[in-house]
Amino acid sequence: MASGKGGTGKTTIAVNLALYLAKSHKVALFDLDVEEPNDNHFLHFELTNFKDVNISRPLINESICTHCGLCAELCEFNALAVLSTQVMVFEELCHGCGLCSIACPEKAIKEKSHRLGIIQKSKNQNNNLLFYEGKLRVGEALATPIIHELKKIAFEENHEYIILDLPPGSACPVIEALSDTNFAILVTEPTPAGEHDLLIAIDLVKQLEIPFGIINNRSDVGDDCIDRLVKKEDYELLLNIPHENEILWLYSNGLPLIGTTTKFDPMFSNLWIRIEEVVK
Amino acid sequence: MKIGIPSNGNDLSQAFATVFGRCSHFVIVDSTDQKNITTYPNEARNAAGGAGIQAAQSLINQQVDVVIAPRMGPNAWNVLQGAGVKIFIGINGTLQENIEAYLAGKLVEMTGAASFGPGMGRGQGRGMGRGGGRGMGRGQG
Amino acid sequence: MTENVKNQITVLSGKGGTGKTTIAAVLAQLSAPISLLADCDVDAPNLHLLMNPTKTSEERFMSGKLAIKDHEKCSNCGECFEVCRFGAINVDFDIKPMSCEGCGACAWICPTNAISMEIQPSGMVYEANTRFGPMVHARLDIGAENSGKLVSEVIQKSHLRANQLNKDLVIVDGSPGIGCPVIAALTNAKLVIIVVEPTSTAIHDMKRTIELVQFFKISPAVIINKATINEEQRANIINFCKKGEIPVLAELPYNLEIYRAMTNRKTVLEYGIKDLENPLSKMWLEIKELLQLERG
Repeated sequence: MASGKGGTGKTTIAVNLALYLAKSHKVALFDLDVEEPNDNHFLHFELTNFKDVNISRPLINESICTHCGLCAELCEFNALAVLSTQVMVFEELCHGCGLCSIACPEKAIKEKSHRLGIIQKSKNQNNNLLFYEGKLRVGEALATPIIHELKKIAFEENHEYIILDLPPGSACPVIEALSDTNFAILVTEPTPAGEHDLLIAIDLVKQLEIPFGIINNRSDVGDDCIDRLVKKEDYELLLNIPHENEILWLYSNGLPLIGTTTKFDPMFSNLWIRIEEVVK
Repeated sequence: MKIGIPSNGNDLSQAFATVFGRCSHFVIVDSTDQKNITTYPNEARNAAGGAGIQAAQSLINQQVDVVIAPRMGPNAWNVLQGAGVKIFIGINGTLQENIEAYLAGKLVEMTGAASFGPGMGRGQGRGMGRGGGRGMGRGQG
Repeated sequence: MTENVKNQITVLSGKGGTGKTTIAAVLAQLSAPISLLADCDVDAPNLHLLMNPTKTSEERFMSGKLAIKDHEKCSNCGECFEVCRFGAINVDFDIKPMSCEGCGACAWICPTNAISMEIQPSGMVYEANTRFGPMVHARLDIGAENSGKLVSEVIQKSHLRANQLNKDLVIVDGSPGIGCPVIAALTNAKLVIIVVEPTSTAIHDMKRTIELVQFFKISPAVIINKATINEEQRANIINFCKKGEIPVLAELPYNLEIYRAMTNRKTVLEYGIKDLENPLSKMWLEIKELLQLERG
């Protein structure tokens, strides 16, 4: 499981660790960054629709509605506006709570199902690596239900290893994604910004009581702030990845490190050994 | 005829607010009796999302016929349009100046949400600034 | 008086880590006497690390409601459990704040009025001074929602402050993505600079960001950071911009020294990275022309 600040290499670690593990194990990789799913930019899997993620939205029966305005008044998300002759529903603001429907004194509000996004799954069945991604429809704002659904799939199906690639930040979707995981990999870089965001991420995983390890990406370009932090707090440093033009070049062309070349296999093999050590 | 204007205070000498959904007050003026002023604080300014919608709803509840605003998000615009309220693009100045400009027929009607304003092509002239805040109505909690 | 300042530049990227904050800091330096800096990346603010601001005021940011239960009034009828669709009420009818969406359904249904909806503190807004001038920044609490509203708060405060201080320009460091906080950071923008790197993912995200910016009828411009890491992808960006008539303000070569500048908490210009000086000063000239700045 990986996390960290935007642009530090979360996706790179998640994708390549999955590819490496899939050489000898059954692995499922989930891209939970449903606003900007990027993993398949590097995997190039053919995807097939797996399921829709829906929420309910109000459906107004204008012939019964008295335009009393109660629903608009109650809606905490301002998703309704009541005019003298019609009710306007702003679907993108609706959280699907159903309050308007249960509160309507005329029972004029029914609910309909609305597609929030879609979950796709990789096609290649003979492969050891199964891949899922969730995609929020453009213009939709609620990422959390899709992440919730993806995680349900992850834990219901019987996978040997599950890798979750998380969205950046520390807001609601990240908490939803992190909860119930066994181990968190926090990816950072040795700059003030990298350290700052790492500290926030550590705060978060500690609150959720999830054991974690740190990967220091581009470990030789900044200073020794991450090393100092790790030493001082006795955190687990899983891996240092020095800057390398080849990594950057492969990345910029949308190519994975594992599979394109064998050069980086030892790196991920070491990473896996370290993770196993720490988890035990 | 009742005119509603977003404001940052409650008298006509105030500057015209540059945001719609999150302005501090709305001022409502009766065009036939300009001494007849109603003001109320904009509750929508604290909304997590949909501030523009809530603000527009409050103006409709006040039965305004015209709204003068700097710019407006699509949601608020749709609510006002749906209620038959006419929307005009305000000018940079006080509320009083805006009302006078409207009554003199100098204001332009807003024909679409966020579909105008300082489109700033290369080399386009000065004086296009102060386009003002687009209503935050599309906030998505 | 909350008149807006004439000019606002919003710096965005789509994808994180492309150099948005680096560019915003350089812009603040180049425009120092006439500008105010606003960090609108409230989920993961980083600009203060580079700017070392001295706080002049702070304010608690309140937003988003949460259901709060009065145990004394509760009759354990379980109606709230039935009505909640977010799993925020457990089997003992206690409220799980992390799961609560703040919809108010439980409060409405409760027959004994034991639940009230209360607005929550969810972050901080700061005003500060830096070596390049005034700055407004904010921090969202962990797990808090509504960053769009906090961003609007920062923008409004920035313009207010810039006006008081007679500044002509507000420079906004936006957040990654294309969601609500990004849209909020576009408010008042006259020019949006999108910082991109020549990688397939960053280009993909840049296109989505440009679409969003153009939807709001704001002019986008592009800066290519780390331009030298992939010639083919660089050409893709140039062609895309040419087709869309989007100005490319600068192409900055990849230079590992930028990380040294960061760790020294200096802008790339302060640190004296020679490769970047020319393109950055050209960039500033071009921005001044685009905005028709009188001073600066």
